[in-house]
Amino acid sequence: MSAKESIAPPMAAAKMPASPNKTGAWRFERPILEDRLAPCSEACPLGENIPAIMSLNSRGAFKEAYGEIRKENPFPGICGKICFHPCERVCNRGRFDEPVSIQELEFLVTVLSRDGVSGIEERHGPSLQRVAVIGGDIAGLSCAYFLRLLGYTVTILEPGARLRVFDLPTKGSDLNTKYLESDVKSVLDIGIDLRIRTTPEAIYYHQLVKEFQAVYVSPGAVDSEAREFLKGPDVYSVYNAIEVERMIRDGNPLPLRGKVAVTGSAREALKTAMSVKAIGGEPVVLVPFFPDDLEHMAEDLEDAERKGVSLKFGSAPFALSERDGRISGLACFKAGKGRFLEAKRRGPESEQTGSFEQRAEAVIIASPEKTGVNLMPPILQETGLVVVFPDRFPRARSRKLGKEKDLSRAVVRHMSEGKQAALSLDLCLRKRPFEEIYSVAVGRLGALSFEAYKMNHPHRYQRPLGNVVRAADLNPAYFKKAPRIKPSSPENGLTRRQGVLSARRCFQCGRCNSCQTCYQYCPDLAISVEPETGRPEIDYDHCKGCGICFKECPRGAISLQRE
Amino acid sequence: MAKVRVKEELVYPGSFACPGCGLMMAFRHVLRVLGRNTAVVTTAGCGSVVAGSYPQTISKVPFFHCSFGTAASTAAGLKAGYDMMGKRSINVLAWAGDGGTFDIGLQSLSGAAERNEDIIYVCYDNEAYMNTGVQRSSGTPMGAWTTTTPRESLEDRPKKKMAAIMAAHEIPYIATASVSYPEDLDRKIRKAKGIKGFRFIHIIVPCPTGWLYPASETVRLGREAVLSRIFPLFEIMAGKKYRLSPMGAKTPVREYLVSQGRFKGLSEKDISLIQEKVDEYWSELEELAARSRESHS
Repeated sequence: MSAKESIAPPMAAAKMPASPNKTGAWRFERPILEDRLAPCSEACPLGENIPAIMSLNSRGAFKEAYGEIRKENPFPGICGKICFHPCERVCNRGRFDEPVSIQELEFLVTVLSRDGVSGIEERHGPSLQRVAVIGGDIAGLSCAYFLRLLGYTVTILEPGARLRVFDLPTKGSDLNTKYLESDVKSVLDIGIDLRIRTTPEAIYYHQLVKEFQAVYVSPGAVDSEAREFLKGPDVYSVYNAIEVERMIRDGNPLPLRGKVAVTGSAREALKTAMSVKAIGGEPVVLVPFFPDDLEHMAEDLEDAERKGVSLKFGSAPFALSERDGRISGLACFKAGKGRFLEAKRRGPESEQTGSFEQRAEAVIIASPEKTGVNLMPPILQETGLVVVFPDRFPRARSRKLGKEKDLSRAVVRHMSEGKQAALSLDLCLRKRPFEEIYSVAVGRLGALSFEAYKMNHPHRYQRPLGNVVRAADLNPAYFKKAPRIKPSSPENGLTRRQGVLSARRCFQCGRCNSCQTCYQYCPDLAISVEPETGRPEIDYDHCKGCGICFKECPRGAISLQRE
Repeated sequence: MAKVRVKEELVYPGSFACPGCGLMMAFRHVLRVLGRNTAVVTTAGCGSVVAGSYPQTISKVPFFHCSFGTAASTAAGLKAGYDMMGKRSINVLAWAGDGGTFDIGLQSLSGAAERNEDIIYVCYDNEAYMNTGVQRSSGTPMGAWTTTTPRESLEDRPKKKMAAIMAAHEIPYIATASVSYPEDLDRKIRKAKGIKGFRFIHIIVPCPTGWLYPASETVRLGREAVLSRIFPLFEIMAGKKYRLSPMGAKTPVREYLVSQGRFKGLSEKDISLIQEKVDEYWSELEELAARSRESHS
């Protein structure tokens, strides 16, 4: 002991840090930092990662934002003008003051960075496989785009003199020819072959099979050229209710004379089945429900049974099956009681009680808009050619569109249809079960994420796809009211500066943007900030579970879990 | 919210503070801004309890426990000692609760303030004697329940206006702050650090245990207290020049009151009485601020 220290009177001095006290043992609720899904992303039919796009925009990084949009959407220029922007309707900011100008920003991003076309970022799967897309409409181009990004060699076969996407009505709508052309060009530029003026013979089945492993028939082509295509081996005795009505009216009901499987919405299916019965067919109606669920149409059911229509309850068709190049029937899941009602979603749920095959010579999909059938591409086993038909939405045919609202909905729906087709084709060619597609569903409204699909294979970081952030999960105390910025003229849209300011209005729902609020307020120093990324980390040895971080997180990126 | 630069933390985790403790939040912010070159003196209270029991401590800087009510005089003595040793740059922080400031410590505080000792005195105000089991102090607001003002006879005297008492000493700097506004709190501590003489900072620290609310609401109540003006934020320079920091649009005091269990017994009449008092105090402060703007412009 030195002389200097001995001057001090004897006293107790504590020199041990308190950190060995594991106060985390007091906790009964555990805060978890995990990114959640923003409602705008869920509502977007293409599942764009809108908070990420807005974050880039707010920093003025419009080129990067363009790349981010193009991960999910091949046509930002078209969408920026005519999309029906369901994202803005559900924007949490809309509850606070006014929704973020998501659509105007999408357009601005395209204007500012049209040349920044992203190439093929990553290939996976054998790129030698060749896919044909019949019909160059929006869905066809979208499908081709995503297939190309997955590494396939894609050829668009267009029977017309030019891509039919240019037949979209540009007069009297917001659709701008300039951006339509530049969007289409940037899609083709990633390396998609285009053959125009293809002859009907070129899309005969036996021609296609020589060159391609798979074929996608776009919705615009399905009516005319596909018919030619069907003339060949006659494998596709699949009809929709409208076609059936027409065939009966035209007196050409020959394919419907044998055993016919009918599915779709229960009411439509029954109606169609009765017409088939009337001309001498043997319809079997497949419904995923049980008579108890269909009490409201008990009379119709009785009537149909009396007329000799056979009804199979609790069967949920999921794929066409074929034998020797012909339709042999529909593969169905046996539905558990109640499953399909509570889920209200397309497709089978996990707890099926088994599956069976309903034999049939033709298949009718009545009211496909509501059907539980995913037209799982049937694998033609002899030849290995995979053919995908689009889900046939009656209103979604581009040639029949006139009204603005229908146009925008149909165009956007075609884009997402093309994406779905590309993903299901890929699954099919890789011999994976179709249900895997649900693992990349963005939320519960039916959009699929291409980025997540691509990432899924090496099990790398995935963007959040579930657990939607609601307005009540946000903390309004951190946001100031700011009115939506109106562009000076609707044609020109926002300026760069206005774009940055508009993007700053985004709450970034569910996305930790390293604001450090949780770190500032943690009373127990249980949250530290990763110096490089700025991302907080929770120290569960000391976190007492007070829940302040959960309550205070401005954007609902922290959730509490009972322990 | 603006980003606060991440500085070195001078508090260890693992304290025995209740979950959601506002005092811990205040303590770590104050120490972080004052930095390593600081010595803390604390008197009996929550602050000395959560600081750790022998041989443990939560503080990375010297932390001196003194007898009850003597935080100001001990800190003054410590400062004088450091000065004699030639260590003039050390910040001496007196850290005391509302009991150790408003009631028992008032005499030593007044003495030190009157002598204008060169220390920073921070009062963390949780509005009662919390660590001994929620007994009323003169910092307890009107209408609040404590174990010594039970539901049958709730606190009927208004909260002591500590800042006004301190202003009467004409010390160089007085500020009130809330843990819910860390940037404002940091700014005030930083300002105090740069001033010589006696500096008094009064921080409201919501207490889930004594105020009877769920632990996760601490920050929200600290914010409501400021927005409703029941705990107004302001600074007083040289005992005369007032400056208000309102932090946002005024909200009714009712929202602040009804979310706490300690105000459960209040009738509508009581609430409107409290609102009246709050409005009165706020307009007084506004007047003072306006007057000091005039005289200094």
